[in-house]
Amino acid sequence: MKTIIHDLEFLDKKLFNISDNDKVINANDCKNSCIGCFSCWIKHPKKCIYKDEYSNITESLKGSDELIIISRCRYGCYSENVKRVLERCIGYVLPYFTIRNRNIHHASRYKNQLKLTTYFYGDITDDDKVCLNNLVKANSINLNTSRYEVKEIDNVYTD
Amino acid sequence: MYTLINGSQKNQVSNSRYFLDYISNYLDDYTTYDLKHSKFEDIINSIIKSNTIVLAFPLYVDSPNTITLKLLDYIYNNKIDLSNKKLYVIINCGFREGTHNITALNIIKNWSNKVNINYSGSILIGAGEVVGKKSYSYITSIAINKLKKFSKCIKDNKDSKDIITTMDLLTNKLYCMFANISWTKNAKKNNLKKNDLLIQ
Repeated sequence: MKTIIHDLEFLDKKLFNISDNDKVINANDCKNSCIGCFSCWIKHPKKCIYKDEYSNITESLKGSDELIIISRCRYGCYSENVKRVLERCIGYVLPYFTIRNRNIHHASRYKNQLKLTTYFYGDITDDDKVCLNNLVKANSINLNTSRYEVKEIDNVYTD
Repeated sequence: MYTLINGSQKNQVSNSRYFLDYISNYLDDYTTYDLKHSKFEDIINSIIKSNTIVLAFPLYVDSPNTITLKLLDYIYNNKIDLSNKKLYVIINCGFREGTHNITALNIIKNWSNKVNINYSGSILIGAGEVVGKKSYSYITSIAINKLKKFSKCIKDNKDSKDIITTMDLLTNKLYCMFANISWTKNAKKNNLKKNDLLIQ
């Protein structure tokens, strides 16, 4: 199973090889932003305080072998909407710290390792590309994924 | 005139706000805005009147947090004229090493190029949760001294290099140990034990 987080107006499932068993999360409908309360770590572990369809993303990631992120590139970063959803996924890792690649990171909650595949679209400069690669690499290390990929796409439907 | 922007999304007093308040001690004519509780229009009006902007935010998922991205988009989409204005940046993270903030800083630099603001320097703070608490004055002294140097650059209208602070007085292992004890202590306030936090 895959979890797909995207900010497209229309998601072409064939283009991204998405099946009916996969969990698709449309970031454009997510209205509640993380407030940094850390409740998903130290009060109700894994659960966001907001009671909406995004509150249990951790469970979806737990059952997935791949996380696919499809986002408009904004200055070498994810779009605001995709970022809002990603910030609500922090319960996927533990609050506790560990040392990985000689730096401090959050410890993994689960033993299974996700593959992380990212697709970016929009106006992407060479500086943006460098940023995107560094960003996804950093995400990959923090999420302790088995591998990561950064891809650029242009044939998507957006508003 | 200076516009200081706190990009933290926290309800309680944030570390980003603490760092801005520290810097404001060196400035005369400034206004501080908490992004979470301010109208973007008010912030933009202040920015237009200012020569210098100081933007502080916490690192979330290796990049600027959502509400900060929202402000960047607002300025970019509305083609606000930021030429001849200086931008200083403060990014803090909970990890010991300030280097974790570099990717987020490069995103801000990309944005700066696109909106024609004069990027003028940054301080990338590691162990932000610790440095933002005055009670640990000895182990935070190196970071605070660097913040002081950064503040003086802002006051004197000079460019600053990108300053990185790391909790040098603690090794990675010690920092992890203290931080992890702190997480368990905080969980206890919610009647949870360590094993409860580890739930699969």
